[in-house]
Amino acid sequence: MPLDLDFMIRIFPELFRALILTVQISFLALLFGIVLGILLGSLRVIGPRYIQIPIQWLVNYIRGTPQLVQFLIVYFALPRIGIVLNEYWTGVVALTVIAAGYEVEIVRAAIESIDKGQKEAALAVGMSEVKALRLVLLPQAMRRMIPALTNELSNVIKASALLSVIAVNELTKVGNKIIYETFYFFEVLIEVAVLYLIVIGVLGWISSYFENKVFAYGEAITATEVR
Amino acid sequence: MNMNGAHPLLKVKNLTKKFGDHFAIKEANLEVMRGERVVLIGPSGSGKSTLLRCINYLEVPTSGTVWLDGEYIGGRYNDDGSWVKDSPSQLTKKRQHIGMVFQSFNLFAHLSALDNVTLGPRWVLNMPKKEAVEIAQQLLEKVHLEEHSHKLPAQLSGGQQQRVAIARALAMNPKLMLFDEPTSALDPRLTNEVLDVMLELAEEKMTMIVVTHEIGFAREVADVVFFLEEATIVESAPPALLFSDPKDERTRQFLVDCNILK
Ligand SMILES: Nc1ncnc2c1ncn2[C@@H]1O[C@H](COP(=O)(O)OP(=O)(O)OP(=O)(O)O)[C@@H](O)[C@H]1O
Ligand SMILES: [Mg+2]
Repeated sequence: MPLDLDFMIRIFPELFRALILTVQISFLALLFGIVLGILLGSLRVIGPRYIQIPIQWLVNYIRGTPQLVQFLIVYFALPRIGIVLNEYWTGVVALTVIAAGYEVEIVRAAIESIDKGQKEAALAVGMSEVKALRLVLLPQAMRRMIPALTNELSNVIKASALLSVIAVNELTKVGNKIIYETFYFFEVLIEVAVLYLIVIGVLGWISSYFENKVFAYGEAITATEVR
Repeated sequence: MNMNGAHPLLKVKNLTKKFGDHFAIKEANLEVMRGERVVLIGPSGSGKSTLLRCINYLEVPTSGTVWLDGEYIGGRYNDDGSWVKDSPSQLTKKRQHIGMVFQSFNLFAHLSALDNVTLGPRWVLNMPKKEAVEIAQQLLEKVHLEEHSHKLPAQLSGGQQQRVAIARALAMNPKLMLFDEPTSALDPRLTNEVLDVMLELAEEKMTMIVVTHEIGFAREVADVVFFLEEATIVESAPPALLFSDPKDERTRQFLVDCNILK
């Protein structure tokens, strides 16, 4: 079955705009997710138990329920509690919730991967737990998080396809719309898939670039320790 | 204050630390005078590290008290004699007076030698940056590392890292320094450069408690040596006496095993 290339080129601008929107929303969600993730992830490590446990529940809930369900809950729940946002920001909030759920764990794991001597040394010079976290643990944990976070951005972009159900004009939604108008199933779907692939491929490349750099840093440490 | 040094700075009373049912240190009593240099020796697992770590409350004792220069670490006694635990911020404040040097150096891996030393003064003592840097440079000079101040820990040898760690602890101007096997991770050459720095400190009458297997160092600088075994302080004496004529059979056996006594 030959593809109608002319058609594919004609719809490209519209799909490209949708792609930009998709990346934008995903990026914002990741950013807010990182802020939330660092906050909650830190509390998860040094907070009192009555804070740690609810955070763990939240994480379990987010990881243990379908993302579509979470989207719909955010979509319907926000207006109920008096927060009326347009589709764009509803989408950002919904995706942020998902991203944060994973990032809390990324942050926690990164902090806990730092040698415990670092924290003890910080406490021994008279730092509080909060200062030890802010000045010693987080700066080191941050660089270990980078690969996982870049990877997480790909996941968020894939999850953003679900925003089509709440009428955000992201890539999947726009693709669907064109299909309904023209019935060019394959042309549209293939083009949509390729666009996702390119973006996620680029991110994967960035991710492994960071990973190698971070890994190289780790190697440098052990190499000089032996000396 | 008595300037000839006969003035207790640290009093450890009946200090016990249990991990589960296991005693890591049991009913330890220890007094350290201002300017005194104390060495702890004993076989692996005898509780030396635990005793040190309880003194600055990195490990919270199961029972017993630690008193430093007029106040209890970790809490205080009310007028009616009841014990009130320190809040985290009170404890943090008291800890500043005790410097600690670890076997594994534990330099802040993301910071240069200089920043390792300035971090405490700047963020704990709220010292202006310029002043903190000046102090740090003096201390790095004191440990013979002024030329390496911009290097990351990973770019320094173990001996250099440990000397930065000593400078970092000194930057807080502590009343007491704790050393937990500071040279055990180092080869003999690097060991000596660290011991030299510690020797200079000892000559300046820094009050210090040192866990070490370096008997030569103990002989040279210790005012008193404590021998620990199975979570208990077995005996203590000046090095000349303890290393030649220990009272307790367990001490004698340990010294024989270490080829110090025949
Ligand atoms: N965090 C911990 N949890 C459980 N047990 C511990 C812990 N820390 C120490 N112990 C136990 O307490 C005992 C004393 O340990 P400690 O580290 O104080 O000995 P040490 O004299 O410093 O030995 P070494 O010479 O090997 O450093 C050991 O039996 C050890 O296994
Ligand atoms: Mg030890």
